[in-house]
Amino acid sequence: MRDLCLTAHRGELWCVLGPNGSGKTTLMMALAGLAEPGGGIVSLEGRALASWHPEELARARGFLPQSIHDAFSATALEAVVIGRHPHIARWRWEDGSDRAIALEALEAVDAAELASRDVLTLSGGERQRVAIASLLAQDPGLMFLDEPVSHLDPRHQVQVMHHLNALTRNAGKTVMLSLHDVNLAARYASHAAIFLPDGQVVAGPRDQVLTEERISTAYQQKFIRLKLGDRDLFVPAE
Amino acid sequence: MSRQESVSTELRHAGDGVSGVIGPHVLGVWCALGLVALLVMVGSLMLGSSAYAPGEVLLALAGRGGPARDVVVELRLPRTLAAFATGGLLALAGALMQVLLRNPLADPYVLGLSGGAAAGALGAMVIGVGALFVNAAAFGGAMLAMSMVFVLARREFFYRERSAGLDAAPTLLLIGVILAAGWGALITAVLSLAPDAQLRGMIFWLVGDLNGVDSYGVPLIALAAILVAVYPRARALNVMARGDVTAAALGVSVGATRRLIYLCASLATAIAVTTAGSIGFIGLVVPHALRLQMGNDQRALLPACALAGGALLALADTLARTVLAPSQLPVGVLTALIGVPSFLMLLLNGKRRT
Repeated sequence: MRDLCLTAHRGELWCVLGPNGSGKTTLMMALAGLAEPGGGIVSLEGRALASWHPEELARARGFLPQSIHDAFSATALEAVVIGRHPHIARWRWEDGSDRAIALEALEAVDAAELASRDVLTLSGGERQRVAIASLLAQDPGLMFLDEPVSHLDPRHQVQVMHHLNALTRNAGKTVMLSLHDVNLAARYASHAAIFLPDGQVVAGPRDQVLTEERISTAYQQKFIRLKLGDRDLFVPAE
Repeated sequence: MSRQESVSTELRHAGDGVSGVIGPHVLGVWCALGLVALLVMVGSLMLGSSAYAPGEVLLALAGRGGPARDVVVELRLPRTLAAFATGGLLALAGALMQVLLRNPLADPYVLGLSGGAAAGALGAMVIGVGALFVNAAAFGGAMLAMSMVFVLARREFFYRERSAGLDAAPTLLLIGVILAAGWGALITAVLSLAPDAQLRGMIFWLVGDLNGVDSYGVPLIALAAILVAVYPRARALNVMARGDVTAAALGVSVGATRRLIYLCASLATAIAVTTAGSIGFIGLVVPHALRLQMGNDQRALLPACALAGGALLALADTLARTVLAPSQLPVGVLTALIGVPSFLMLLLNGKRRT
């Protein structure tokens, strides 16, 4: 990836698109301050990421990894309460209000009934929703999600995208997520970044970035655009 | 009210009134374990070739009671305290290693520390130096093993150098296991070359034995110091149990925490092994058994491990020197004989935590 200049503001929902291995995770980890960029500067609220204290940064931005491997038993509620870590003073334990926030987060991803289940017994999609709830409980202003909807059924994909969209519109959050479903991106994103085969990343408002030709170039797969009401649908051609 | 609503209402109120520094249920568990440890240690002071009533033990501890005083204070008390401290160190080291490696099968010895200690101790025995040098060689061997793991796996201890979001634990575990295998070969070589007269002492060292141990100061202080060092990091360890990237995103300094935990677990193991040889089982089973009962919150678990590990080893050692009196069994045999059935019972019959 090279020559990328990208600024995300409050209330924007960014979708990152690109083929497997193109660097979506690397880009988002670098933007989140979790990996050193090969060069260049990332700053948040006008301050270089390096000058943020880790705990302070954890209250401002969150990151959901692509997959979670649990080694030990824990209830889903306990796993979500972990997201409250940066908000709890060192010597205090989480209290009723942290648990209430965690439960609300579980409800937001339709996982309230999983609260007392052991995470080791959850299916991939259920575990993924619990992980998203943990990020919601962390409640940062800037959220990165690495393929959050990959393991979800269509209903929950729409539900999660809908909730993230509502967070950007109503709560002024900034969300950046990677996904492979061009149509989900076209429907919910306000902005998009797409990886082209030459290593260039095109970033900007959705309608300028997500064109038929650019999507086809990025995936090296011919897409055609269909009109459905006032929505665009991108369908892979033969 | 729908089922979902009733579940969430119930959970929302489950933790009410538990705000603050330590939940009362956790304090209750610690007190109960402390009481058990105290009872076991009093029992250990009472039992032996000459048995004393609790009153006589108390008199002896107060400095009176003639011959009882000598037996209780000079012989049994140091050994009992050493047993408690060693057991506590092993259980604590086991709990820390399991979180560090994100692997419930880890124990204090999995990274080869006991192997290094054993190679040092057995080597010193073959040369024929005194007990003090054997202990020094054991500690030195453990430190050498610890440094080798640290140097070889140094990338895993510095999160910032990692570009991809991979977990460090598998590489670290693999390096440790391979080194442990190397130490194992060295130990076998020493055993096969050693004169027959020394083999019995060596086997006892390898199994773990508290006979003749009277230095309890260092292990007790180490137990307290290591607990104090890791306790402020306990919540960060809970976060790290969910994975490196998640922990880093939640503000945990993953590399620094991992180095501190590795150092503390290694020192605890080295001091325990130097005190009593490589006593097995406690470091694996005590953290597990407690986790099944009280969950995997390190803030509650780590002090509980210290108390329960100490109590279990003090109990095992009391049995080791009384069941076949006047001959003594190595305590490592007893920890396994007590631990295996009780752990299996917990695992198979225990109510699955919800």
